[in-house]
Amino acid sequence: MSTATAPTSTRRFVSLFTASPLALVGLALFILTAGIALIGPMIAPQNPYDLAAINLLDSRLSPGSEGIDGNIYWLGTDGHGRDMTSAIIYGLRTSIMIGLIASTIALVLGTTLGLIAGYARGWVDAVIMRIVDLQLSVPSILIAIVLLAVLGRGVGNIILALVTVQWVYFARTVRSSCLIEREKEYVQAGVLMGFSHARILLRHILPNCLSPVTVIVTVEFAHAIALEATLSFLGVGLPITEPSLGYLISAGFSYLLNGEYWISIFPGLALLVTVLSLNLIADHLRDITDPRLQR
Amino acid sequence: MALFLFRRLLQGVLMILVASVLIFVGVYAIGDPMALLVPPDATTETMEAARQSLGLDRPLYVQYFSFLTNALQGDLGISFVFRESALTVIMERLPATLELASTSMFLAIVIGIPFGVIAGMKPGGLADRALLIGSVLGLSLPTFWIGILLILFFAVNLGILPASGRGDTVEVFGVALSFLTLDGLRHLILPAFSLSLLPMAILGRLTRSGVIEAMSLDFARFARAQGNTRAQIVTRYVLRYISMPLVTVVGIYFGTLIAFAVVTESVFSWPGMGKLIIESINQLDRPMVVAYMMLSIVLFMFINLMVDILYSLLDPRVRLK
Repeated sequence: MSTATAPTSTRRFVSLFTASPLALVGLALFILTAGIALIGPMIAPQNPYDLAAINLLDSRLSPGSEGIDGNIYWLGTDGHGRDMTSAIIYGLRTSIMIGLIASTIALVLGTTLGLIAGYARGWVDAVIMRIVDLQLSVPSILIAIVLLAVLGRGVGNIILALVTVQWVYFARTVRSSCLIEREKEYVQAGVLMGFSHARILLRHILPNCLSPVTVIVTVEFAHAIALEATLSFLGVGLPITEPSLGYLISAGFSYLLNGEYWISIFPGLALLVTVLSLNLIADHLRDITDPRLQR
Repeated sequence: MALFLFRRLLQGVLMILVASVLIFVGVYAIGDPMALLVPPDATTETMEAARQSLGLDRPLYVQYFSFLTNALQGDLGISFVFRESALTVIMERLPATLELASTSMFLAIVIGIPFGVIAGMKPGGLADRALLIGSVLGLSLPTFWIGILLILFFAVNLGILPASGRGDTVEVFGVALSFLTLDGLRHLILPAFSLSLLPMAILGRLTRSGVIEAMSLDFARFARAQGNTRAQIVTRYVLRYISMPLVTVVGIYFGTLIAFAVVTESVFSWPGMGKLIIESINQLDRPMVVAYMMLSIVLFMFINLMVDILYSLLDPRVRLK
């Protein structure tokens, strides 16, 4: 197995990845949504948090309507007269940012604990893996709901809840890779050369455990965005001052029965495209990194 | 077999105990329900009296042990809001949730598995590609949003199905069931379908990859050489071969469906325990939250145990471990 940094393997990875049209569609969609989220404030027609920019007389206008100031609301307005296009762009920003932060922390925490468990073995391994087992026996959404019920709504709290449910997936995978890698000759060679445990773990074992992690981090990124939206929809996630896509959908739900569909449906579409793009990428990454399919 | 089951049971009980400590400490250590339960102009004396009558003035570990001894006798506390046993309130709503989750799982099985078989019998074919795209959509569509779409289309635009509630129910052995009346079925179909998409996608994928793998194995080739048609091979041999992972997934996802029912019930106002827990969280009804979590965990352990038993019945090799 070659390391992931060798140029030939990078080139092979690129050619394998570009072989799937669906994965490329996923990548294009993700770059689009992430790009919109990144430069959001520059392209949004309105700042949805700026009360001065919002006109209550324009509330609940259907898509394509003309506002009182002559501007056009392409995706309509919500119950407060907020431009839906802008609200979705800002919501997307919040959702992607929270998903990214949560899955990155879960990646670092889970990988570290997985490496420690797999390398140290013994009681350290037993303790970490029992916690993993306990968590995996309860659906993640329940753990998140109860944590947020205890902690209350908030950006920090939802990130904490997402990290709590996600680190186990990284830990479980990295541990099992680490258990295999630590028995290999290059590790013994490192030990004989007098390298420290930290150096062997970080410089030699870690890079060889990362291949399956790329799949998990993509899946968990998508999962974090979907879970945050679900929790915010239920009213236990983000506070109303931080409108994410989930909150926008829940706010629009009350208008749905009057046929005012756009307040719920368009933020949901943005959410779907984001999660779908990541899942398409993850599906193909799984095929590439699965050693059974490589031979 | 008996030893295997005993060990599993012991593990389950241990897990429930650990979870009970975590839940109790977590839920009880933070937040003060008194602020909600007494009027804001209440005097300090009435506050203290209410606190004492609810047992909230005692140290946390004393509260935990009285909670545990009561829990073992089937008493999970009195709901602050309903003023009756939290377990009773939840138990009244449990059948609705179980009915929803079972119907969803039924839909997922009868649609997902046949689709997976058809796709797996001809990899790269039309059905296979449809499954690939359909399943990634099923995994990506947020449960609550697909519920909203279904309401918009069938209830608002077409007006042929109701958007909320449970409809007429029939009492069977004292348990109210919706699926036995036409009105109940009409109420059940949308929430059940929206909840079934996730397990449907998973089962479809799993069946597909299982069939593809099994069709290349010796027993399938031998059956082919004996003159069986491909359909016969799949129904007689391949499905039996791939039944183990399918049973596991059905079991695990049944638990997930009960958890995700929180979302679906909130969207469709389905009067189950999932909708109840969200309301209880918003009302800071701590005994309710604790009772719900305890009941869920016991339910999940029970489901896991059932899967283990089924597993060992299907594959004798498991029992030897």
